[in-house]
Amino acid sequence: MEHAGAGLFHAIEQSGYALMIRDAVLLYPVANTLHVVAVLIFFASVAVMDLRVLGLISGEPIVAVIRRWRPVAIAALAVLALSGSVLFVPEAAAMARNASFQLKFALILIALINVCVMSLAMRGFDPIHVDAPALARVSAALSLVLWLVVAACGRFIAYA
Amino acid sequence: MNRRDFALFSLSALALASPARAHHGWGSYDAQNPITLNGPIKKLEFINPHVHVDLDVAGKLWECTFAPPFRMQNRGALAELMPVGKVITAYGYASRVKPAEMRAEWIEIDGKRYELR
Repeated sequence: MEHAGAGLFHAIEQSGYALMIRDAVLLYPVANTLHVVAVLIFFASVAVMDLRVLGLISGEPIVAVIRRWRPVAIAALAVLALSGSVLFVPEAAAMARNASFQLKFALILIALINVCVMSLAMRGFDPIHVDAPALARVSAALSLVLWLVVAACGRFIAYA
Repeated sequence: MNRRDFALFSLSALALASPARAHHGWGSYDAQNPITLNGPIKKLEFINPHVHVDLDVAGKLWECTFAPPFRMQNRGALAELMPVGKVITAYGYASRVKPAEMRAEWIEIDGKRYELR
């Protein structure tokens, strides 16, 4: 199943970054552990916002909830990307051809597009209104499902 | 597409096998038929995510997958104990997808056993 793209991933595996990760004893296990913890923080902050938008939890105004938790979600996502790169590069070629990894990334892309959809749907949302727009609620429900499946795909990489 | 359909779609997509597989997980090894390999080390890669050793077993080269470096060190199975040329024993399971590859349950060096699971 070799093609031009495969050369890129083998090159990544031979990069200084990858070789450092392979040789270091603690970097990979720490990144792996951090990745899992960051998933929990990411999902918790995303879930709070999504559930609030859906009206399944009540409390602070929707806009306030989003304003508080979105930075946490973004920070957790950055940690996920960075720790994920440590997990990815030493086995880049094997990861690239792993069906679960491919699905995970396709779903992450869709989930990020969904975040944009949510933002657009919430534009000009008047805090006076209690219920979020219908499109925002659909987007929130989709967000919950997507990120859970992304997490499952991540765990399943080892078995695919 | 409702939630259930989405879940079914995802599971189906996962089930579509890619011809090449990453070596992870014990499930891709034939645990019903353990093998014991003995021979000199031809190559050692003491690296993350898994330590690999190539063993020359009566002329046949086997790639043996061990534990991650941190676990190896923790359990005393140090890189210094497995130089090229050293004869060791590896007990484990042959890969179901990659020929001449196995995952070791334990290894024995100089009469000392190191559990790797």
